[in-house]
Amino acid sequence: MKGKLNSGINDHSDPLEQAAEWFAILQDERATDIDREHWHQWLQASEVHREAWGRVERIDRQFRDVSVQSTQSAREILQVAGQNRRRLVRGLASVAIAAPLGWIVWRMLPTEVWQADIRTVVGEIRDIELPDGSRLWLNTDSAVDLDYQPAYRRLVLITGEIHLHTAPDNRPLRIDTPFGNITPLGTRFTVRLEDEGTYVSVTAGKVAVTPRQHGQGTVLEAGQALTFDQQQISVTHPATTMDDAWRKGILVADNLPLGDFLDQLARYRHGVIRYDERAAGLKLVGAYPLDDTDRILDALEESLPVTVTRLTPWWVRVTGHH
Amino acid sequence: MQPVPEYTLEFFYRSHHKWLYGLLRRHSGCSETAAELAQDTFLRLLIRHQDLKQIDEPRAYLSHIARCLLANHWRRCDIERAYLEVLSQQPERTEPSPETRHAIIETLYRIDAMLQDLPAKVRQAFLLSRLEDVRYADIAKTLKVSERMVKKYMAQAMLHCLRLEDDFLL
Repeated sequence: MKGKLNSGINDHSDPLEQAAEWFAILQDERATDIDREHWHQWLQASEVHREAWGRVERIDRQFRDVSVQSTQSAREILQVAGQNRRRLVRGLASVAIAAPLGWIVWRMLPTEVWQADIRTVVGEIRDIELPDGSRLWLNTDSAVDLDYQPAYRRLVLITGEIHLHTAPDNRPLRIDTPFGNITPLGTRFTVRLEDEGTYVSVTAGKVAVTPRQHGQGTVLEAGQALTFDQQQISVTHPATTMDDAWRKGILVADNLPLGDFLDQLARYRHGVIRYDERAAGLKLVGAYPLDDTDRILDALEESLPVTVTRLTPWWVRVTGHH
Repeated sequence: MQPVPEYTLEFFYRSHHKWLYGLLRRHSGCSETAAELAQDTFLRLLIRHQDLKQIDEPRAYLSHIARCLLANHWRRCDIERAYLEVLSQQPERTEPSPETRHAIIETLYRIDAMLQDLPAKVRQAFLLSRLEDVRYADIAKTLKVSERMVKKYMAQAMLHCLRLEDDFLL
């Protein structure tokens, strides 16, 4: 029943345009049941329509969320910001990444004593402001215990990977791992717990690293990284710009062997990723948004001579071509 | 130390990071901001799937990206300031926790980024409807346009957001 749809919706136009028009029609307080019926028919008509509508709903939700959450008038804030804006250079393309919005809201205890267990599930990346104003990022499948006392601040990395921007505070701060501890000296850095040791990479400032059974520690400067276990500290090597890219929800490969890349990717998914030798050695360059790891796997087929087979959703095999 | 092959990001990073950091520090007046934005700039190179061989003036290119990021940074600061301003004018409100506050500012920033290139009336119509549930009829009165026009604005704003999302997809 083409052409019978609704006032002015052109059936041949871009599906996104159609979806946007349906949105405008349905939000109107005078929208009728007939409008909704027609919209429903449009939705049923094709997968492309449903996909476009899904995106409309996702965008709308972002606006609805803020109006629900903010106790203040969000619109007022945006208007004030618009008036205040002098430095903004107009005409520059906006290059913000649409990062997945995830946060937790917790109750602040009335005293300085503040303890919490923070964790992320597989595939989740979380960003939290700590009570002292420090900012903590948790990568996929990670857990941290927080122990803030009047005399000290302590984070215990139980599993996974964190990145921390420390805020100045009179109390000392220490990060404990099973292999030893890390004392930041006003800084930004990443700590990852691996099977054999703790990896530390410093973005800014310095950190002191002390293995558990090794009296003498070492100080790591900005731009450096190392791994340590209970007894020893590895040679210091340059940090890569990518050590904290996961904070932005992105997995990056800078000329990385596919095997290493897939090992990384597997951390963000349930199940297993297997690959053969031919696939493992292929080099990969790119940045991949982590919110859809299946899409990343599909994209590999397009950019590399590999086949991705899913025996079940949890068992993925990547095979190199001859 | 192993030689780093040219045209990898790592090579770019080692050759230009220090310079870029210095540039950003001068422009932002803050070493923390500069460190953060310098990281982001290199990250952006990868996101764009840019063939590094084609960048014949790396520093000009990097500083262009860095300037965009700095502009975004200022925009975020503007929002934060506006939020605190509005917050301080609220009589006897419960103080939101730092996490809530951060989340709200982040969301506002994203919303602002989505709508910033739209004409003022389109933007206003959309915000009135989505954030405050104002009816089309009342939006029309506020903006002194017809209701038909409001509907058109709504579709225009939504389409704009959809297209913008396309640009962000990697």
